[in-house]
Amino acid sequence: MPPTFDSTLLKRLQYLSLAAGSSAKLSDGGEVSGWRDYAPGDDYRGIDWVRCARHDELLTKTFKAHVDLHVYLLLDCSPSMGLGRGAKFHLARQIAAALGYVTLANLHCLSVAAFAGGIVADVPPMRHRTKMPKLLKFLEQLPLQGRQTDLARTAERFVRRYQQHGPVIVISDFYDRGGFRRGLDILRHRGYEPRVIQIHDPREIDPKLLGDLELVDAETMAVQRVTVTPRAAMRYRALAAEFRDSVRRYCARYGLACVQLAGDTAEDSALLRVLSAEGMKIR
Amino acid sequence: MTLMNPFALGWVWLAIPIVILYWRKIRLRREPVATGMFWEQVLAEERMRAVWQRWRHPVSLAVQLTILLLVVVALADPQIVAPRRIVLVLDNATADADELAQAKRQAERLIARLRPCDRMAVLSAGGAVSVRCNLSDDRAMLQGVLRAVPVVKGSSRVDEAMELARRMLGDEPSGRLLVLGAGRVEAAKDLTASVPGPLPWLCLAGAAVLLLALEWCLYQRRWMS
Repeated sequence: MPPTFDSTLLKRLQYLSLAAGSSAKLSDGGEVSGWRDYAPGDDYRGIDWVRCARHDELLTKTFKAHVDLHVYLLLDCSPSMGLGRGAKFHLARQIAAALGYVTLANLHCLSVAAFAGGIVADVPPMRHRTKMPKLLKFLEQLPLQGRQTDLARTAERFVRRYQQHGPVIVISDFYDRGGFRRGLDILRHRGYEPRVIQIHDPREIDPKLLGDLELVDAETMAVQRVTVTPRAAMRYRALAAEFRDSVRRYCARYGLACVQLAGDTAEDSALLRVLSAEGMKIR
Repeated sequence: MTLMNPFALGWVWLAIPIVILYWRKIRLRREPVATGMFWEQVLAEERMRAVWQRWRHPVSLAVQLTILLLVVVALADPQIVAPRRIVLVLDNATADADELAQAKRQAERLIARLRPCDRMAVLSAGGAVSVRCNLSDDRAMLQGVLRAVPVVKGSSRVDEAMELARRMLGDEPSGRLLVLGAGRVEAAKDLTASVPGPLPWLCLAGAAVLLLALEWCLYQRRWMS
């Protein structure tokens, strides 16, 4: 697998976010809430030159609209995400980095948490583009861990930990034996705005398996002896497609943004699709 | 039932590589999957077929071993025959040693054709009636006793020997009395090599039917795949 984040990542994210229309921009005519020291990367148009001349310091304005939004990223790091040489997890981290970049570039507050059976790792809330290296380091070093995916327990712990409401972007394959609905329901009912990015591996939709096999569940490690006949394979494909449809139907029913991606999608194509999806834009 | 060729049962050792190949074949390939949720559902829906799938391999092994057993039994040549009791009376009262030698050769051929369940006794009738060997199935001993019968220059007491032989056989339904020597070559025509019974053919036919059935099942499976 290639390194998760290469040296050109930030440039690519900047370009992609511009292309997707999620580019950082100042709030148009919003109320100035204060000033802060200029940091490398800030938009120079926000520099208050009058104050700079008065105080001999480079200061930039902050606007109320930017301060209020707190964006959450919930990244699935359960073992099921690591199947197929980790392509799903790699893409998930790329997407998390892209969304994190857009959030920070738009001067919003960002919190990132990784989950499996519950929240297993997180980063304290960040603000500003300068925190990007910290985000990338967290994502780069994040291992696959935990056991079975439990979205409900994750959501319960999440709402206890993070009191401020805001968009919650869940990046996962949603292979939760307890069902994905309950976790998303908890987030909805508590006033958060869940948004769904579902990543699957093409071999999960259409496994090229036939004959007598022992299937090992990546999360429970349970071994199942099966004889995969063409009929059984056809039935499996129908069930897998039905599951993806059920996620889509759930999101459509409650007006949640939903993006479904294959793990082997080209990175830039996947990122562009996520960043330009209606409901995923963070301004 | 008697096995005409019991050493053929030694081919049963072929069951060992059959079982070894069976175990190697059914070793299952492991495949990791992201979730077993969908496969569990597929299996639950196909529960009846799953039961047959689980027993498919043991049944196949049983059929293969049965085929092997039938072929081995066929090679062992089973015959349902009644054991025979044969008393050979050798008239060794002759001046011509060649006559006796010829009679002995004929008797040796008869001994060689004895089945494992048959028993033979040897009496000599030259000079005095003598029981050379009681009823026995030991061919080597019978051959040795036969060779040791000497030429006797005297009168032949075949009638007495035959009377003694009849007493030895008693009411045995499969008893046979054979007199050889001194011009009497009454080779028992019914002591020629026995006609093979139907059992070996039945075993081979059974093996062929099972083999065809197995091939048909494999063909069906390949066609469905």
